[in-house]
Amino acid sequence: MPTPTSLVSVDQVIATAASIIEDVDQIDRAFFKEWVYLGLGELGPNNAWVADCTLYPNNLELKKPSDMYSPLDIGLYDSYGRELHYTYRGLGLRTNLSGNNNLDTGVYAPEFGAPVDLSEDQYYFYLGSNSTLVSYALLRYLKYPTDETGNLLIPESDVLVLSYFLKYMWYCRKDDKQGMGQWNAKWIAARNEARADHKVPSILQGTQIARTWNSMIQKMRFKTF
Amino acid sequence: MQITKDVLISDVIIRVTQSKPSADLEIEKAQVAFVLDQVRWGLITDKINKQFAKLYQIDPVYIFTEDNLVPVLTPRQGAVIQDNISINLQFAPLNIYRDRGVIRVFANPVVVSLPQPNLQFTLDYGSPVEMITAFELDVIRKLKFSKPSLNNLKFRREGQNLIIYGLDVNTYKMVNFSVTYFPRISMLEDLNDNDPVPLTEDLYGPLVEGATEIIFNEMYKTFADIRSDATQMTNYSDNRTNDKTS
Repeated sequence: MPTPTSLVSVDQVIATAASIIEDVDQIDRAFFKEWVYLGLGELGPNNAWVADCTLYPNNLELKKPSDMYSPLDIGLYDSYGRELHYTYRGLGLRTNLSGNNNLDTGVYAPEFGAPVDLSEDQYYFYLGSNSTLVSYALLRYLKYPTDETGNLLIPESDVLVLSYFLKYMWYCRKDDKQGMGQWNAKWIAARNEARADHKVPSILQGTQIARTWNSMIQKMRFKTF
Repeated sequence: MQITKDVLISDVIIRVTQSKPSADLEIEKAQVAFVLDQVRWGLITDKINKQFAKLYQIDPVYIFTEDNLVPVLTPRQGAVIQDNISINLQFAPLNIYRDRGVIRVFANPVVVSLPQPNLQFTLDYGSPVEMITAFELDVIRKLKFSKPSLNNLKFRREGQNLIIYGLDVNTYKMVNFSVTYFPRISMLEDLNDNDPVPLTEDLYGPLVEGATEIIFNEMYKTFADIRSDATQMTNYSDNRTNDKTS
């Protein structure tokens, strides 16, 4: 099972691939970066790209993390840690009155159809004028982790898989049909394994699922008897 | 004994004159050096190519590294963006298999000492510069992640010059280069008499024999009896024909 937080730079993938392609020269290596990201697209998203963080409002704005790709979930809380209800309004600020007097006058009253208005743009989440109670927000999001030069970081568990892909692409470039045949099979097998790995929860998540699973079987630790 | 230019030339002259060199020898030392160059480049290129083809380690004696190479901007008339940046090597690289004469180019960021706007880019420890060819330049430029940029420098060789892609007029002074390559060192132009000649031991014999054969032919219009088997022929084609029939 992959460790969701281990990320490496694209250069490490290229170096690993070069170590298993003995005859590779610099002219081929110029294409490797492109191939890494091509292969990464084939592998799809994974646990390494999910992150949580706390955002604090400033003038009804919550600044998004700089490595965020898209939000998965957000919760708003007051200073006592109580969750506040909100309604997601999509992109941009409200342009029309809601018709609800509470909302229009800035009163937080979810029981009367006036939860907090939440909307967003590329860089910020925007809170409605009835959100003065909001003290902080917890955000779960798909991150886009990059290195200092702006290249997307690669999950460490995908390094070997991508190296196989690079070797396969190198054979394609050489038009080596035997190599293409051999390494296409290896790459496809490794890719399927990686895709499955990406969906598997970590041990801790698995334990959490097992604890909360609604089962007819009694949750007893028999080995203690 | 170190293999120097003087040793090689003296050895060839001794062999050509059959151990009787004279002060008024009709062939000049410079001419011997020229012939030695031709034979040596051929032998070295051949050997390195074979080592590449068999994926062997290359003899390190042929490798040469130049540091602190400063890129030069050659303006293009009327161009909006001036990005014709190149570095000039001390020696022309050998032309070998898949243009692997240049082994490694590395970009080192220049530490700025003068107060100026913060133009330091993120190549803080340096980065390898990858090779591209003129044939594939436009292909590479269309690839989103591989195209030349400040953080993804590329080079292309044109003779003794390396043309750098990814830098422009605003950034080319922020970096200098280290280049490791197989230099085509000329004994005639680049070496003094007592300078060591980059040569592996196994090529010493073939080099001196090859040069002796050519010079012997130049002097006496015939080939030397190198194998000492009385097959001293009048010209090369006869020699080959005889070899086949014998």
